[in-house]
Amino acid sequence: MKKLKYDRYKSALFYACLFFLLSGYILYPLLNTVMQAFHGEGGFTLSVFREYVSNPNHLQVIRNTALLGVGSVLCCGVLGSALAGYMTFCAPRMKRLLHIILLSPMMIPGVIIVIAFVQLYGESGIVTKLIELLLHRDTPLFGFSGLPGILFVITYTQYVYFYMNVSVALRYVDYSAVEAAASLGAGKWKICKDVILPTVRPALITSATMTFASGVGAFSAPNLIGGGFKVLSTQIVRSKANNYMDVASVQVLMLLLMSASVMLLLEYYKKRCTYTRAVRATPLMPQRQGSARRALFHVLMGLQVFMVVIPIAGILYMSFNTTHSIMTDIFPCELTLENFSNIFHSARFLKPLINSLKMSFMAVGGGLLLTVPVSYLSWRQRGVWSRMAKSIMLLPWCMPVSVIGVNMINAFNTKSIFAFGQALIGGFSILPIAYIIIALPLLLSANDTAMDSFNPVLEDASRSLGASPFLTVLRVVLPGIAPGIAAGGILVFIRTMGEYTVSALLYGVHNRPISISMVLNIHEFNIGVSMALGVIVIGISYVTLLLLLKLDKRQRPLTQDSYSENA
Amino acid sequence: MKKLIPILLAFMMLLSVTACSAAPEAPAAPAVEAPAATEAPVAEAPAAEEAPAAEEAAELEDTLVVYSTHSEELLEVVAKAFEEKTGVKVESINLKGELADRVRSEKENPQADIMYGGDSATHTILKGEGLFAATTPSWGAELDPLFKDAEGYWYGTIKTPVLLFYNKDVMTAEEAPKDWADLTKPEYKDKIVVRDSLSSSMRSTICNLIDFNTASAGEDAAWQYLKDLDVNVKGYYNSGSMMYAALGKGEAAVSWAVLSDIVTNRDKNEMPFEIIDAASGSVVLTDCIAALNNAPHPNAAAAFVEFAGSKEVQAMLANQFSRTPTLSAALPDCPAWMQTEYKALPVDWANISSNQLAWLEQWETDVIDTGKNVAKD
Repeated sequence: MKKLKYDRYKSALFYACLFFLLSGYILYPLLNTVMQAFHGEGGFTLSVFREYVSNPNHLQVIRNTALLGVGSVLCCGVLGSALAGYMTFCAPRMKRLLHIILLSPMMIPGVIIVIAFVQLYGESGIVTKLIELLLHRDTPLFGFSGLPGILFVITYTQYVYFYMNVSVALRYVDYSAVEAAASLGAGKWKICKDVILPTVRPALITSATMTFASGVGAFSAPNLIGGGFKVLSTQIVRSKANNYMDVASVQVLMLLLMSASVMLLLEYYKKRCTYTRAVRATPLMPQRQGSARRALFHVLMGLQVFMVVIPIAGILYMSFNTTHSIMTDIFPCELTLENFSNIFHSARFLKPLINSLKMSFMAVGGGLLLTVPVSYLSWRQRGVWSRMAKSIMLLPWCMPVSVIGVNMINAFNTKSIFAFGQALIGGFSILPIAYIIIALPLLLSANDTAMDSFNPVLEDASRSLGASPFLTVLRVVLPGIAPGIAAGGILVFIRTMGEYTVSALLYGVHNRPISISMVLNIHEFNIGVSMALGVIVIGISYVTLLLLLKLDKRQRPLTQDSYSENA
Repeated sequence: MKKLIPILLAFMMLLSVTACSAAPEAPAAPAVEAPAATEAPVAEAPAAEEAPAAEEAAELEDTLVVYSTHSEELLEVVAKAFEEKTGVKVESINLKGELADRVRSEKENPQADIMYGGDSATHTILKGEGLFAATTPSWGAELDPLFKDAEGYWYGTIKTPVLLFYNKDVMTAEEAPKDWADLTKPEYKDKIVVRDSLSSSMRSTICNLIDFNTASAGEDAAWQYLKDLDVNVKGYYNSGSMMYAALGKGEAAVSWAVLSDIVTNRDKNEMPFEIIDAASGSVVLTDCIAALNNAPHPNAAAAFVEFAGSKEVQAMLANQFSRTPTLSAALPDCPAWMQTEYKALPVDWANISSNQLAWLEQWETDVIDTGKNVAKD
């Protein structure tokens, strides 16, 4: 009894600290934004709002944004889940390397990726011209702009959320249940629907939320190739440029409402389909027997992997080309090492890279420190505090990253009690803090997906066998959920390495990240150098991830493989 | 006991200040001096404002923070030269389009001392918001009034002409347009690519064209011109690199852009561009510099304005980075191609700055709101 009370004090202390941080760094800045939309000349007003929605052009922008969000979820959902299934069931060769390659679109800023896409599929793109040659046409087969163009780029870069989450969830599908269903006469379709889908569903819902948020908030693709297809995220910047600040804040609010309602809807749906797990889960084994349909699937997925890889390969190839050739030749062919030698001879190169690595690890570490206890506590006992903490931590999803950045500036350009009496702007810490805020929802949902898949019986068993709560968490719970946590951490790591939007708003002289160097080089017409920087970042991220996955592999025998031995 | 608490608090704050300013700083700066440096400007700022003439005599601070729109390469060269001359260490970042927003948002607690870059229209707006401190550089009097604020809050140090140009591999000199009015001719349909409304050169060009055409042919004709132009424009690019790549690959032939970018791409990236000296004149922007109000290092800031606008530095930037000087005294030391002055479009800048935002909003909703790229698919 005394022990329990002590436990409660501890979690109360944790929540007190947590809410202090959450209200200072998330709630207050958010309220600030919301209030701005209703702030007219005579105080509170709805007039700006009413005026905004009365214009059909503005409504079109809102429709476009919603369309892009839904389209992103559908396209990314199909591609990401299919890739996850392919990697789990078909186990292609060099699986681990392929896995990391499939994560690479997130490691570099959107601008760079879009330029790589345009180089391939734009009007003078390599792929476009090849198709023209093959079909003997002299006009492009497709226009790489507008909604189809944006969706194409988003599909082949943002599928990563679905891919990562579904991959993790598939690890927890109980093979013995699949076999049981099969022996009871269930067809393949029925097995998918009744056995596999319930396990994967939370992951699908989480990924849908993430992808929707990233779709409606997408900036680089609509900005660079959107043409007349206007969406909220790009219009916000234009309103700001024309100094229509009230319109901008209404647009921000629209974006907030859109993401928030989708998030609530999906969360509600997720709660309705809870699913109790089997005590022992036998992991699915990759199937290797061949059939015609399998071969077709192999070819189809191989093509998808190829589609994902060529922009990355394009970046690699461009990094060895002169900027002159990239900008004037359809098939660039002036090979050079100059881009790399330029980088290594510049004193400005190493520091941003170290800054980025440092801040990415800080984002993962800080984010996990805040989210893992919340996930665990709420999983043990659904209470008001944990639910509240979770809702606040998920809020950054509804906010376009640029809004998070602007709010951070407004909140911390003066001395703040939440920053212990300091002004954070201009200092080092503001950027890692912003990265952590952006990372919170992603980490929290990854942790929750892992906790949902964790079998509570194991914890009870450990406790009833006399292990202390701390030991139980350390030796039973954490190893059990490690793959899911690692998946979230890896996503955050690579996304932070490639983060540009918030970085551009908040960076100062002490924390200049590498993504800034990449994009500035694009602005200064050093495309080759920018691509070379991209290659270096991708390379470093690969090495880091390979090391992380090695650790992950070493831990897995503790949990999953021991089951398969028992079974 | 009660007395102890404030002492403890003060100690903790001192600790945190030293820790924070020492951590990111290079080891060269001793930790003990750091808090003094951050506290000093609060006391000195008003004095510096009251007596700008005394600034030069005042002792310079150790460091200076510059927020800029110029390339890092350029900033590095200027910083190094300034450091050699004064011993003040310069930390600079290129904030591009975020610059004005950033300066504005740090108003309460400025982190930077200098805003270096951005056109005169932006500087005029920020001056109105009380963000700048007036300075009196020695070369200020020589400067054409067109290039400076009458009260000394900002000075133009770089002239940035926006010029028409074409790809000579795609188009001959005879085929190329001779003036802005030619751009609406049917033969240039889908031959023109330009930057989008977020680019400051594009914004200024549109406003210049509206003002110029309104003065010569009336407001209706001015807007009709823009609509006809929109018909011929193949695409509006958010990224300069993508626009130049489209020109380089022959997707289009004609564009307009700031001179230094055209020259950089022509000379450094060997792209086949030819510049057009438009018959009725070109848009000429002014890139400015200003010291920020309540800056942490006001004396060094004043010294930097003095330095960055001097004819030596203007000539240096002209030779190394193709930036045209505003001081005519600097011209003789500049490259030959800079000596040919491009004729400026005769416009009323006061009229432009008062109508700019409304014009741009109208242009964006009524003129280019036609879903050009989508409609083509």
